[in-house]
Amino acid sequence: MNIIVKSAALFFAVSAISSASFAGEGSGCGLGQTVFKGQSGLMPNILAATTNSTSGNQTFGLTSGTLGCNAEAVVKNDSQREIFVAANLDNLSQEMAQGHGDHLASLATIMNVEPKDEAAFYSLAQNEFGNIFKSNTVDANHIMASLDSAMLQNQDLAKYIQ
Amino acid sequence: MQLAVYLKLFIIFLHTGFIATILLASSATANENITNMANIQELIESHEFDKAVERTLNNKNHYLYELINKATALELESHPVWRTLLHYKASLIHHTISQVDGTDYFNSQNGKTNSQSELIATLASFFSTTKIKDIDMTPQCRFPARFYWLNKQLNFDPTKLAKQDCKKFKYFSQALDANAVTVVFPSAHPNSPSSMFGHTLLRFDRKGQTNKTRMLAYSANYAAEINSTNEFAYAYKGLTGGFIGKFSIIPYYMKLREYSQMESRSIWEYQLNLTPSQVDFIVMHTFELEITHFDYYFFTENCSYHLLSLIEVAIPELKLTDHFNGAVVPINTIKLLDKHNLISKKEYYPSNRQLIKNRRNDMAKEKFSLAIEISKDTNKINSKELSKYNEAEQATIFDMAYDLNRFNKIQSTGELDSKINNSQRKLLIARSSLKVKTPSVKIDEPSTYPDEGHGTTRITFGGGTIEKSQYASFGFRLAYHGILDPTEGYSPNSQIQFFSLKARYHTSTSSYQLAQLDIIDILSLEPRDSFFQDISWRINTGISSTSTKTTTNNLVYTVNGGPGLTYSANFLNNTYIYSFLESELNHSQIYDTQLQALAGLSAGFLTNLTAYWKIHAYAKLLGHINNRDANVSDVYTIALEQSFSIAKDISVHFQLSQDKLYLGKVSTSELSVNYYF
Repeated sequence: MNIIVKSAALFFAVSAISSASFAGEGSGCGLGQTVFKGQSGLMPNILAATTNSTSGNQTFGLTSGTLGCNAEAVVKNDSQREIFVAANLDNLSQEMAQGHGDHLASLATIMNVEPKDEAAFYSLAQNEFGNIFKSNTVDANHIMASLDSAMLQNQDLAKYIQ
Repeated sequence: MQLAVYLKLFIIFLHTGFIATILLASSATANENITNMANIQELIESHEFDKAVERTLNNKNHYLYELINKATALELESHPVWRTLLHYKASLIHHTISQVDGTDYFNSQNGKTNSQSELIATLASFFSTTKIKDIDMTPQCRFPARFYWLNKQLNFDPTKLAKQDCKKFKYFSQALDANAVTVVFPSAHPNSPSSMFGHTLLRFDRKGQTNKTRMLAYSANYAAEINSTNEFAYAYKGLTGGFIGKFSIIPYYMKLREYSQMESRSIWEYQLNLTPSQVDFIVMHTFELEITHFDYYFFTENCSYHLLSLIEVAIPELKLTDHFNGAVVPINTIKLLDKHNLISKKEYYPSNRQLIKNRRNDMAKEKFSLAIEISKDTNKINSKELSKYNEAEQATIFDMAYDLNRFNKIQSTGELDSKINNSQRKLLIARSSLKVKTPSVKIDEPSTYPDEGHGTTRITFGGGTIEKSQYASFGFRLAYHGILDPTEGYSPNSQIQFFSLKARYHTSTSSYQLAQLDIIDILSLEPRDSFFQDISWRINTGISSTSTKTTTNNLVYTVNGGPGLTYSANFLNNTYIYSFLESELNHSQIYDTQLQALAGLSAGFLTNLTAYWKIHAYAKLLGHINNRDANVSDVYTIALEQSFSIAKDISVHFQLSQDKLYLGKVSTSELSVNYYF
């Protein structure tokens, strides 16, 4: 038994030495803020094998006023789009440029775009891409505002903007 | 104050419906009763449920009295649904104990260990209209599953026990909008060791959801809350329940980003075969659990165990969690669900890395090289080289360039920041001007799902010779997958083994010997190419025997490992050539210095000749660092290993090796049969 204990101690020592600092920061809250922390270090990695511990709770934090960061962390309907876009901007932008994709289809769902208008929505995203992404600062709010005004100009899609 | 008391009394009279009785009784008794009733309600409102129950037992007029009697007669405290809702398990000391560790989860002071007092206190709590501090909910609204189920069993009289309007739960269940649940299994990715066992979470599938929009669903994820930055504390706490484990509700798109994009893990989705009311009940219980917490145990009460304990409330008769007494390997919970025919649909969601590889296979080499260049410097979108391609080809190159750029960004920062930078923006603007669709990529779906792979525990019987001494061997491995084990359902180029023991019985001397005990043995061979530049690595720690002698004196405990490079050979499928830098620490009584430090090199070749036949050959050469004595020479190992899969859970291994060790050369040959379960 002693031998096992010693080996385990040796192993822990080596892995502690070989490990970089461990990202244990909390997720923080804030509208649309998403925090993903990579994890490094062998020990957390190995022991996290079945836990998914570091990337579970701490990787995602968002709040929308009264909700989020607490027990009922479901996203309020009216901020759902904003959070979705902020969290997926890199994927969504690519699909807007391509004129199709799962994220774009999901955005259409959030915006209640009916199936018959989906094609129009996809081409508008692609055709207006240059305008929507004109500015150097492309944050989620900015992009959504530009998309909204582009949709207002479109006779099929204007009805989805209140 | 007086007025409030009278008001409450009046309400109680209405609720209990015993006004008539009280009017008929003598005024003295009536007064006593009134005081008693008032006291009970006051105790309930101050959430002193045990005391309220005590009082009620002397007051047959309270509706609670009737409910307690009814519940006791029905023996609801030992009903499987009640026991799973409270996560009760048999316990030696307490007879029964709940695995929930948040005190907020129990209405009775003894609720953690006493099913009956918790049941009765819960019935009492339903009469309370006072909200629980911090969570701003009445007990009835805090435990929607308990209320729903007890109401079904006892048919609460709404005039005596009113159903309250629970806004928070209503909002929660409307947001989830679940009509099915899916167990999601992010599988292992070799170079992300934290993922090596996989993980499970639960997705709430919405009405009208498609494969495209499933990312909008919510998921419930159980994880440890890590509050320690010290690695020793991390290990210790993780094994001893020092961390708190909590359920959280997270949009599925966040989980997809995390597993598919950040950790390069492919995802397997197993939709469960449950009725809408079973799904509703799981939603109710998710709400209950999300507020409280468990103690987290890495190996036993882990993510997959408690996910199963959540699902279990809908199907308590299957006693799903009782199936696991030791370590819970996530994939085994899926196998269990499958065994009970609970899986109705399986889906594969490739990792981002896999998608890139698939797309690359559809692309000419020069186009891929150009995409790499553009991904590194987006000004190359104007390069002349592009002009020789048509619009569709250019679009494919831009798409790939963006994929690679994003992949590198995520990998280099280790964070899944979704912001796009200026060069990404320019690249996308160029792409948007090409009005062509990206051709859909052919996804190489693995032929075997992870739940169809070999069992995670292994026993071995075999025989062999070591330096002409014959022996019979026996082996046991707790988990999970070795490089020679059948590949189907696992990654072909990695191994993770926990607690692997090998013993020998020498026939000539009739003696037993501990040959090897590996505590952890991990090998990750991640092939490099023009884009993916991963470092392979290995680590091993354990005890091994240095000779045929059976005394314990010749045991050595070792820690070794190091980084390496792996390349995949083009001429054969699933063939890897690798080389590692090796470092090793040995401790043994047989050494003069007790502790030996060694360093060196290793190289190997691993191939899956056919789906059933693997060959692994390697050599390792190590020199002493702290002992340059002329008598102490370098050590080496050469080995040739082959394995044949006979069936899903049976394989035959044949190993030849020569070790030059501290005490001299040792040649070994062994044939063994492995059974997985």
